[in-house]
Amino acid sequence: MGILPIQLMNGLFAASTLLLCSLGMVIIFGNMNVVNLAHGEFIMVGAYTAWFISAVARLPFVAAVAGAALVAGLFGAVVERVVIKRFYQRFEETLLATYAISIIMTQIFRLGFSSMKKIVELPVRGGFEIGSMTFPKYNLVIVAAAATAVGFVCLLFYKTPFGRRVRAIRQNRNMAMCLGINASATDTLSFGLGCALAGLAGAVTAPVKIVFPAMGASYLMDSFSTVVVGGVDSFIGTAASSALISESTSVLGGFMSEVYAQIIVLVGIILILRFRPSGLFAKERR
Amino acid sequence: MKNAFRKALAASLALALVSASAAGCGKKEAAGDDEIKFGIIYAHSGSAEMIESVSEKAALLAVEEINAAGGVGGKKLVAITEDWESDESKATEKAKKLYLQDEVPFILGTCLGTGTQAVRTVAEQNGKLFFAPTAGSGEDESPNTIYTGGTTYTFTKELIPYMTEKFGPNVFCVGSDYYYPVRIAEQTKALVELGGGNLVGSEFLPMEATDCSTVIAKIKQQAPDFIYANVVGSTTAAFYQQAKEYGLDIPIASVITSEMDAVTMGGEYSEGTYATFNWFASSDNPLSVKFLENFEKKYGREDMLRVNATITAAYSSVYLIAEALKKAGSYDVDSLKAALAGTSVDTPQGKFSVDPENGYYAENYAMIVMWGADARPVTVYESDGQLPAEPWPDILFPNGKPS
Amino acid sequence: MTVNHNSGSVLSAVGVSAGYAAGRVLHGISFEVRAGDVIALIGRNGVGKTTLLRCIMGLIKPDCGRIEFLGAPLAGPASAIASSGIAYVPQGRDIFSDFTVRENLFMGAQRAKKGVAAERFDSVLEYFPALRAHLDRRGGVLSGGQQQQLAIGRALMGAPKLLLLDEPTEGIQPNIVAHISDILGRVHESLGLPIIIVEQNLKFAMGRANRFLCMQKGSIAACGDIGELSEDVIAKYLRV
Repeated sequence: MGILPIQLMNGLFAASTLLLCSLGMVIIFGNMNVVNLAHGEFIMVGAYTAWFISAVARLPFVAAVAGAALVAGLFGAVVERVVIKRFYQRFEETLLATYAISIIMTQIFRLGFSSMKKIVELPVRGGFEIGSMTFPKYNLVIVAAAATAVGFVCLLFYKTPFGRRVRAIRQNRNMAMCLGINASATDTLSFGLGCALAGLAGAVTAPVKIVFPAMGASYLMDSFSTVVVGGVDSFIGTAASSALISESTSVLGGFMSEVYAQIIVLVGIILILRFRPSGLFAKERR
Repeated sequence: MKNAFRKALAASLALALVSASAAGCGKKEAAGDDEIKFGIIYAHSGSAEMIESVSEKAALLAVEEINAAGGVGGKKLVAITEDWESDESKATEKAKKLYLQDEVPFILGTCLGTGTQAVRTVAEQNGKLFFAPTAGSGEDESPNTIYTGGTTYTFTKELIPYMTEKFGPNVFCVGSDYYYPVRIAEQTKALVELGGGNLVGSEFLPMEATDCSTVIAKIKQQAPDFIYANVVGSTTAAFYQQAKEYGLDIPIASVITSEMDAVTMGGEYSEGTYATFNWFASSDNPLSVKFLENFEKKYGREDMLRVNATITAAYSSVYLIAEALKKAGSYDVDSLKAALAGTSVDTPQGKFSVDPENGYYAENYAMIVMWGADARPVTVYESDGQLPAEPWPDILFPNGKPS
Repeated sequence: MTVNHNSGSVLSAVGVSAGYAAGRVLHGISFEVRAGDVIALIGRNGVGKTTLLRCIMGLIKPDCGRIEFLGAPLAGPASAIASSGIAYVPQGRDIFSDFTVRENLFMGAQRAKKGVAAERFDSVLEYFPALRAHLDRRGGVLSGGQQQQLAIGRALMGAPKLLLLDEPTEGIQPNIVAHISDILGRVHESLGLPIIIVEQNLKFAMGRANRFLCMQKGSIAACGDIGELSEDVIAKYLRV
């Protein structure tokens, strides 16, 4: 068996992880225009919650995932109420504020749980085989979780009154308010939702990652570039860009050093943004 | 506008507050005539914290034991501890403070390379001594720095024949992408070929990578007899876990993976893999057994389970220093340096002595262990006595140290 | 719905001053809207007509003064004011261009139950049958006239008790202007809905309004029944 089919599969798994970790940012950055430098820390909160529920409280993993989304979401809503809402439309101050939040969150978890790395046990063990290739069964869980999460947010945004309110605010905040939409409540809900998705991602990927207070940093740039290439506010675009980035990294990595593969993909992202500054899947706007 | 400024200010103040609270403060103690003061630099935050905070505990335990036994020539050892926060500019700052302001003749500390480099430079500039209980790949030596953590070549040289005899001669090297694992791979290539085997592949993962699926696919393609895995940080647990989950049924050995990693990832994933270094918790040296007992008594079982060779080296180094101080009779830098050259002391890691040939690398034994299901090591091999440190191994540097 | 032509106060403003960071625009505005009124708010460009509507709508906060709507003080964000029954069709229409015409209309019925919203949707389409053919097209692709109808329709979806229209005829073909004028007339007749229209098109304004408010430099310079809108007033406050 050649390495190409294996790497295509590995790319699919990596894409699912990337997509799961980026969805929250599509809402917060794409739809609310907030560059949340604490994105990775909300993933960290989700991962810790999952660790706490599954390893300390010994409850089933499903409870860990649900709990992580809930905790991260509520925490996000509080952060929006207390901090973020004061900085809308002020780019530099938002950067500074969210950066401060990320450091505070990291420190709180460091003081509360120490810097020691935690492992969340795989809820599904062993491998499955396709031909002569073996992959961990848990990868299927990640793929399913990513697909479900994308389906959920698409339905929520395009088929429910809440989703239409968020999109209306994005298009024209004043007009939306003039129609009676409570913009600040909607902001809190959508920021919380974005954080809940980050928490969910943290929980679902926790068993294949390492949980520690500074883990969030590594997620930020990956999610950010994925969302930007995907066209910022598009879930389907982000799904496509996750697939594009992960598949090309995996396939290239199969034939050369992974470090070089990453560099080539990064250069590719820069070129894409040079020629399509609003991303590959940006809507044509009039 | 004014309001915006105020808010920006508030945000930056919050930021400053956080970093200040993380910084902590160095303890300063006055030293009298009946005291010998020295500096300890370890990180209490950042990437080096996990190992260095425990290293500091080990060093302070040795200080306490030596003082309880009457000190050095009737004088008590007094350690002034500083935190470098895993930030090399902080390390320079703290080293200067200790050498120049507190006027200590020597500093002990650091595991992470960036911190070691920073303190070493300050030691050189000011003609002071620096004890670095950190594993080195060799090739970096300084007249003022005594590396007491062992050089990887010493252990790789013992491991490769052992693994080759047991599993076969074809090796695949995996490492995190930085100087140290890259050097180890070069050393491995030379050693494997010396024994008639082949380095069938060598791959380096981006730092902190947690997706090891690609490298595992490549290893499967090459089907080596064993894997020499020298990854660090989050990659360690990720690699061992994914090796099992992806059904990679090939023996793994490492010169980096230690008790700290094994206890983090749990026995399930470390079980059956090999590791080599100058000390493991399975050592039957009575001093080692006593050290772990005392450590557990003072700091608890959770910390004791994390104690690895590097942490033990911090403890052993204090005993080496005490012995040299006794021999030197005074503690100015020159007499201490002169005394160190021939000093030898029994430690948990065996006889610890500064190699008179290479000057400033402490000599070591080599051990190879296999991790058990309980994430504890089981000794499978020990070297015949003490091994010379080889910072410039012959097979890579046939003409010795490059000038 | 019954036609209500009694003269109870719908909206009253007393001494309202407001503006932006760059400076105050409105200086002590006082006026009243009574049930059944269609008020033409006229004046040259830049005298503060749009600012006054935005102030009523809660998009800018008055520095001083008091606005009451149906006997209760108007306060809070625009969403609260909209919920209390004031609908606003801004200059430029502000259609949600990514939403379909249908979605745009239903955006107007935030507080209504599903069934009620559907009923209103049917009656709005009766006023604006031209929208029927475009229900599933994006709002952004409609012509200016269609967008204006959509914006008014969207405002009516909230069953407002006061309608604010800012330049409804701006940039619209004359035949559509006449059509919109007719529809506004019918809406006013059948719902008894009080309306404030900011308008440059004097003919349009005079055709629909029963009263006028004429602004000059942020103040009310003249007001009265539409019949009292004399050539003098027009010459003094409107002609450039």
